[in-house]
Amino acid sequence: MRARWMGITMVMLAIVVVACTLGWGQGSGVTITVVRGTDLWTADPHNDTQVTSQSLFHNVFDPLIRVNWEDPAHPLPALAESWEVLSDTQIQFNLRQGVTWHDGSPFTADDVKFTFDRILNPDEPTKISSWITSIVSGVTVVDPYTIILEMFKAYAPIYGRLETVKIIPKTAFEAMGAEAFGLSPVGTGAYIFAEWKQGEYIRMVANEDWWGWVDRETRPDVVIRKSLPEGFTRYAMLEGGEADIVGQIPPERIEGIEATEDLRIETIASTRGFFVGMNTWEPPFDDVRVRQAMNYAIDKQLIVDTILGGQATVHAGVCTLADFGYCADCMEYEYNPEKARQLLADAGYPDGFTVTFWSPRGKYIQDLETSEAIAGQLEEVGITVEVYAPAWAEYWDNWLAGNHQMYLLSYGGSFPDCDDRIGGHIDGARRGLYYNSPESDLLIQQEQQTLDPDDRAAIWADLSAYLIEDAPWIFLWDLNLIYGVTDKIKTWTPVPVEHIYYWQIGI
Amino acid sequence: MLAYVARRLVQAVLILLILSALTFSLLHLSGNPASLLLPADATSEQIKNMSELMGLDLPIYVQYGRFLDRLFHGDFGTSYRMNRPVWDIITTAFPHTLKLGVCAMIFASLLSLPLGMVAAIKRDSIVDLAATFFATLGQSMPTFWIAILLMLAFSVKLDWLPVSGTGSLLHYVLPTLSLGWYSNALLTRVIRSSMLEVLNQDYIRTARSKGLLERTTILKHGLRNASLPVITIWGMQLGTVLMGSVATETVFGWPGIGRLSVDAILGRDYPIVMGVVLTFGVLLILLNLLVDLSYAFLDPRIAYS
Repeated sequence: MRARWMGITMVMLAIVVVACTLGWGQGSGVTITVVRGTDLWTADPHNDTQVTSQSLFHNVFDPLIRVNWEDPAHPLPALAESWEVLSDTQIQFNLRQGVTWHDGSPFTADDVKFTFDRILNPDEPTKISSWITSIVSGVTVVDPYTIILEMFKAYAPIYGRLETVKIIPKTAFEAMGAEAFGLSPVGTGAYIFAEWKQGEYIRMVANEDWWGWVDRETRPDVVIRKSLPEGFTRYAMLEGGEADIVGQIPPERIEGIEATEDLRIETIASTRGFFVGMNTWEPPFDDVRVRQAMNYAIDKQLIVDTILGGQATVHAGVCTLADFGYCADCMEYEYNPEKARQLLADAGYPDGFTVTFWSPRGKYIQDLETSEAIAGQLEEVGITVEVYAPAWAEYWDNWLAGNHQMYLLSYGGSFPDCDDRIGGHIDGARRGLYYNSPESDLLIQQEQQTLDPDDRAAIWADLSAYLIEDAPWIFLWDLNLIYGVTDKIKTWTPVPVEHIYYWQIGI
Repeated sequence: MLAYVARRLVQAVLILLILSALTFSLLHLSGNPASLLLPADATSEQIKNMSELMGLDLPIYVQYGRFLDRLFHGDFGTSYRMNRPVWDIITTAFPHTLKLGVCAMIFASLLSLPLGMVAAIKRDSIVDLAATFFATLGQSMPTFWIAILLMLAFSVKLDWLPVSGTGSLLHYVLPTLSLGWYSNALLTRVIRSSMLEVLNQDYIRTARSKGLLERTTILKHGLRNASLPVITIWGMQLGTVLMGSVATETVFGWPGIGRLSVDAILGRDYPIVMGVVLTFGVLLILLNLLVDLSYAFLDPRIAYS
């Protein structure tokens, strides 16, 4: 025990020394405050799956490679400078040399191996283990700056998956232990995790030795990150000048913010897609005509305009617009209640039917209101809808148990690959609880194992077209991310997932 | 008196045991925490594995036995989500709730005492009507709504006070007003009605007929005799605010027990919920005991044996 505390003390001292000896002259001298809706569970990047936590981890840690949001098929180098596909199941990563951890020790291949070994350990799985345990079998160290990633089988979306794995330092972690590391993490990222006042704020300072700086003098020196669950409070923080970037702004606040002189709104269509799922194993949704009728019966744009303040993009398909795999040329279901009634009559339901519609309540923006609007529109084509909106825990347990007849749900991929979002919903090999089909399962298997991006895109076009036609969901929309921003932030463009890369903020 | 206190403390242990068994059972009826801890696309097999590693697959009486065993060794367990000892988490959050709760009760007491007394003394006057109106308003306005109104007025429009944070005294003003508002309204009403009852008693008439100063009559004979129900309500309110106001703490982002508890309940973080329930069980039992003991000092007719 004494050795552990000695270790922790040494690591903390090293961080303080490194932080104090950084060349402050390189920076902008500016502190910014970022406000999100949820707090970290822990600062251990492998044990907090919340997307806003993962966002913070991107700034403190580096993965091997990063998502290229402008071209998802071609990821960007991070701790790996380059990589080479050795076979269907092996990728060699050449690691960046000269990188140091925030405590000043050098980054090597041992750290990468330690990270993957920890996540893949079946006896003590981390909370993110399920993201890679079925894909990655292990890591082999070739030399201090080369590793080979071993996979069970060819898996094309591996690059997106790898971004979710933040590399942690072997020596510091072993010295500190998981609990202490979860309070004072040591990374290689652009910002050093300097202080965590539990429940109040996290203070991060720029890591001048970071390998990735571009225009460092225009980037913030210090980032204060706060968490406020109440939407109005986040808005008040922005209006009151206490925050510079505020996430999850409610749509009804957009007008007020835009009318304020030194504030603006930044939005982007996100990887958070919404849909209404149907239990396709049982009547009436076992009939494709009924599922198509449901799609024709909803005026989605009207709901977006009236309930979501226009902050969503309506389209058909299982992928979001930002995803690799999105089909821009596929068919859409226009609002056509007449056609819906006809399809219902053809399927043997001329007088409609009664359905229980499970809805989240307060989990997503305007979720219950959305469900009630959908229910109202379905009533117009003769379908009687009973909306049931329990607390999320009850909703989710019943969803996992396959008990829902019809449900509103959202998925939010942390990387832009459509394979990530269909896995939990459509793929029979993974978890096609409410829908799967031999045809789509075969196409999914093919797209996963096709490493050439162009060939893979062609398979996705077929898969998307098939799924839109087979209509396992009422396809709804991709929700926009809405940020309130002060004029202090000169340049910053959000990415389609709720990640804020502090090193890209121009001040 | 000592025998009475000892008996109450033994009762307290039994109450805490029953409380912990009930809470433990109810929590485990609410579902499996592993499904909320893992990513949404985790398979049922992965959820099952995690449940087994967390010991959630064992019979509930075994789990409860282990919980009691740890508890008797001074260990509240480790938070499922935060991976830290529950006791550390509670003792980090509790001082914030304590400071805010004490401020709110001081505010409520300082305002309600004169307001309730004046309303009783000047019964049916404009002052009484105003105090009653004020108190009714306070009790009928939801706390979160008051909090938002205060924030809108003093932080957004006037820019006088900070929205959120705990760093300075100014940060305490709005949460204190918001949290103390309801208690103030309740105490005002109780003080008023209690004083009205006492002021009609024979001994007050006697005191007045003796020629005692009105101030002495009210403060020495009136207020002291009216204080028993007031102290009961005050003690209960102190317990309530110390358990943390979910609404106030959520709206102001106050890092206290109320916010912690709600997050833990929604996320099925059983060890934290158990820790909070037991800690506050102890606190409330002690508060009630103190209130009961204070009766003996205030009213010589009451004696515990």
